[in-house]
Amino acid sequence: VIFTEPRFVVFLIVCFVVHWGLRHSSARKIWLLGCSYAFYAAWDWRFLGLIVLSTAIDYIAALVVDHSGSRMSRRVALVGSIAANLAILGFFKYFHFFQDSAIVLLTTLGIPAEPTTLSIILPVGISFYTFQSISYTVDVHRGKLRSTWNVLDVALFVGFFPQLVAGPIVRAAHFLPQLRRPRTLDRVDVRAALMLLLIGFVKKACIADAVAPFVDEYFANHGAYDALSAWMAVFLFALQLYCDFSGYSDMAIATARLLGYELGPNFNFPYFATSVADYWRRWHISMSSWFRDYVYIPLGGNRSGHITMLRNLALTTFLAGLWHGAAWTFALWGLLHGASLLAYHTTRRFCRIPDAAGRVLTPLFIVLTFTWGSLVRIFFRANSIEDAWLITRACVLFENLGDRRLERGLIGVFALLAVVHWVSYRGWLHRWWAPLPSWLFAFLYGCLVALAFAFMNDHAQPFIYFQF
Amino acid sequence: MSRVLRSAALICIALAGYSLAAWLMRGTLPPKQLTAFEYKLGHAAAVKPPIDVVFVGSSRVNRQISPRTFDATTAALGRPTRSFNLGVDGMRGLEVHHAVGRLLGEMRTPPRYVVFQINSLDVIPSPGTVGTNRFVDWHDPGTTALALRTLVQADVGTVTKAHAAAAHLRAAAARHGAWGRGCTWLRRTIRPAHNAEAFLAARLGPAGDGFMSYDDELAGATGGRRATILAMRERFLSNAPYYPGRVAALAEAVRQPPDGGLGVQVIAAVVERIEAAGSVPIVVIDPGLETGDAARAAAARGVAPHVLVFNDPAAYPRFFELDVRFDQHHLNESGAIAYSRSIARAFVERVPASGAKR
Repeated sequence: VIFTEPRFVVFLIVCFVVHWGLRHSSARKIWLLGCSYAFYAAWDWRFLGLIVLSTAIDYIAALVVDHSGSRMSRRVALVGSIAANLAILGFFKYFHFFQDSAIVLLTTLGIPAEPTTLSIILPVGISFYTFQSISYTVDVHRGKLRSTWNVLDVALFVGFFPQLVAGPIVRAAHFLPQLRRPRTLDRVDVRAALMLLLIGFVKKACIADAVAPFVDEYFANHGAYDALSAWMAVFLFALQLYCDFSGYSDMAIATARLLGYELGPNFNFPYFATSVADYWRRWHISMSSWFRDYVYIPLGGNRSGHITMLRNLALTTFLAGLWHGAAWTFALWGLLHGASLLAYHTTRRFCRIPDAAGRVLTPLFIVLTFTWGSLVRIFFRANSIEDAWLITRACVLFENLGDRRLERGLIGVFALLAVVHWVSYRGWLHRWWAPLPSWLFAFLYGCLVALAFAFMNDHAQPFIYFQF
Repeated sequence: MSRVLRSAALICIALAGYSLAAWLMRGTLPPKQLTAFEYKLGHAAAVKPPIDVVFVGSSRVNRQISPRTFDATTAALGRPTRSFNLGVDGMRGLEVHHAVGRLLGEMRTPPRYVVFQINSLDVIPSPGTVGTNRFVDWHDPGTTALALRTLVQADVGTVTKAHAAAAHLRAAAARHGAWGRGCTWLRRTIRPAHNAEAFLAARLGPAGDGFMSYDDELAGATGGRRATILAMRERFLSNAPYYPGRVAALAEAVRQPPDGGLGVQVIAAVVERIEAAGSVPIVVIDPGLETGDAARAAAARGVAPHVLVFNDPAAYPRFFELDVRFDQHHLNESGAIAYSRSIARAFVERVPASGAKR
C-alpha cells in the first residue's frame, strides 16, 4: 500500500472511524496495532516476524536495562539489543554488499573466493524500525526514559503504520508518553492534518512522480545527453527526491495527527539552507538527529578537539551514507557530505563572516549549498561510481556527452515550483485556511482534492526511501 | 449525534466541491489519450452523407468486416447502405456497451443499424488492462453499473469479486474525476507526442472505412509491431496440424444447446441501449473457433432480435479453410472480403428494412 493509492484512503478512513469510535484507550491501541501489522503485511506478511522480533528484543532489553541491579547485565542487555538489531539489518540489507566487497578485495589480493548464493529480499522499512527500536533501549540506558511493562505500547511504538516503512524515525522518549495519555478527537487539528495530507500528496503524486520519468531517462542514458541536460537532471532529481520524501513525511505526520499522535518534523525547507551544516539540520531531521545522538556524540562529538571532531564527522556521514543503501555510491555520497562538513567547520574556525555581510550573502550561500548538495546527490542517484563520475564531469566541465536534450520546458516548471516553494518558505501561505468557516473549508478542500487528482501522475511510483 | 450530523454535512459539502471541480476539469482538460476508438468515432461522426450501418467489436470486427465490400454487396442486392467499421482490437463486451453508448450519443444522426460482436466480457479484468487509459475511459456510469451487476452473478470467489469490483469502481472514479488528465496535458505540453495523428489515421484502413485486415497492416508495419503480427501468424501455422480437429469439435459444439452465461446480460444491455436510440441491434457471431454461446443464447431467449451466425463450419465451410485464415481467430484479407459479403447477404435477407429516425 502506497500512501498515494486510493486503497490507502479507504484504509485510512476505516482506521480513523473505528479508532475514534472505540471508547477505551487500550482497545484503540490494539486496533491501531492490528491496522499497522495489516498495513505491513500488505507488502509481505512473512516479514512481520522481524518486526515482532525486533520489538520483543527491545522490550526485554529495555526492562533488563531499567530494572536489573547488575551493571554488567544492563550492559549485556544494551549491547545485545544493539547487536541483534544490527544483525537483522546487516543480514537482510548488507549481506550481499559485504560479500561482494569482500570478494573484490580478496580477488585483488590474489585469494580466490566464491560467492554464496542466497536469495535475500530486503524487508521494507527495516532501516527505520530497527533504528527506532535501538533508540528505545539506548534511551532507557541513558536514563532519558523509564522502560514500560506494557508490551502493547512498545509494539505500537515500533510498528505504528504511518511511520513504519519510511520514517520519520520516532524516539521512544517522544512517542511512548503519548501512548500513555488517552487521545481525544477534540485535540486533533483535523484541518491542519487534512491540509498536510493534501500537500504531501501533491508533492509526491503531482510533482515527484511526474518528474521521475525525465530523471530516470537521463540517468539511464546519460551518455546521450548534452551538458545542460545534465544540470537539468541533477536539479530535477533534487526536486524529485525532496518532493518524494518530504511528501511521504508530510503524509505520515498528517496520518498520525488524524489518529491523535505527533511524530515531529522531518524537513524544514532544506533547500534554503545557507550551509552544509544547516542543510543537515533541515533535511531528514529524524535521521540526521539519530546519527548525531547515537553515533556522533557517543564517538566523542566535538568534545575532544578539532581533529577528533573531523574524524567523528567523517565516520558518521559515511555510516549515514551506507544506511541509505548497500552500495559504495551511497557510502561515497556520505563521505562527500562529510568532506563538505569538514571543509565548512574548518573554514568557519579560521574565517568568520560578519553578520551584516552574512545577511547580504545569504542568497549566494543558499544557491551554493543547493548546487553543491545537488551535485553530490549524483552519487546517490547514479547506478555506479563510474556513471556518477561521468555525470559530475559533464556538469562541472559543461561537457556534452551526447546531443540529446531533456525538454527545456522543464526549466520553466522547475522555476515555477521554486517560486511556490519560496512563497511557502516566507510563510505567506501559512494556515491561510484557518479563518475560513467550516463549510467553506470543506468545499474548497473538495475542490483542491479534485485538482490534485487531476494533476497526479497516473503511475504511482514507490517512495524512493522505501528501498532503504 | 450532532457532531456526527455536522461531520456528515461537511463531508457532503466536500464531495459537492470535489464533483464540481471534477466536472470543470473534465470539461477543460483534454483527454489523456486519443485512442483508435475516439479517432474512428470522430471520423464516423463527421462524414457525410451520414453512416447508417456501424460495426462495433474487437479485432473480429476490425480485421474481418470490410464496409466497402458490405456496401457494394447490399447495393447489388437492391438495399444500398453506407457503413463504417468502428471495431477496435481487444474491445470486450463491456467496452462494446460503452462504445455503443458513445456512438449513439455523439453521432448527429444515429445509424439505423448497429452490428456488434461480443466474445469475452472483461467483467473480471485482466491485470494487464486494469489502470490503462482505455480501461478507465469505458467506465461510464451505465457501463460500470452493468459491470458490477454482472460481477455479482459471476461464478468466482468473493475475494476475486471484491478485487474486480474495486478495479471497476476505481476506474469509474478516475474517469469521473479526470484523474491524471492535467499531468498528461502538462507532459504533452513539455514533450509533444510524435506522429500520434498519423498513427491513428492509419487505423481507418486503406479504404478509409475503418477496416484494416492483418495483411494490410503487415504490409506497412515495421519493428516490434511487425514482429508481433508475424508471431501470431507463426503460432497459428505451427499449430496447423491440430486445426482440422478443432474445427470438427466446433462443428459438434455449435449443435449443442448454448450456455449463455453472463454474456447474455451484457448483450441484453447493449441491445437495450441501441433500441433506446431508435436503431436496430444486430448481433454477429464471427467464424472463429469459439461457440458464441452468449449470442446464441441471446437469440434463443429472444433477447436479441437479430443474430447472424457464421461460426458453423457445416454451414460456412469456406471460412474454416486454411487459405482464408490469418490465424485461428481471424480471417485474412480474402477471407474478410468473403465474410463481409456473407454478412451483407444475411443482412439483406434476414433483417427487415428499418425506417428508424434519420
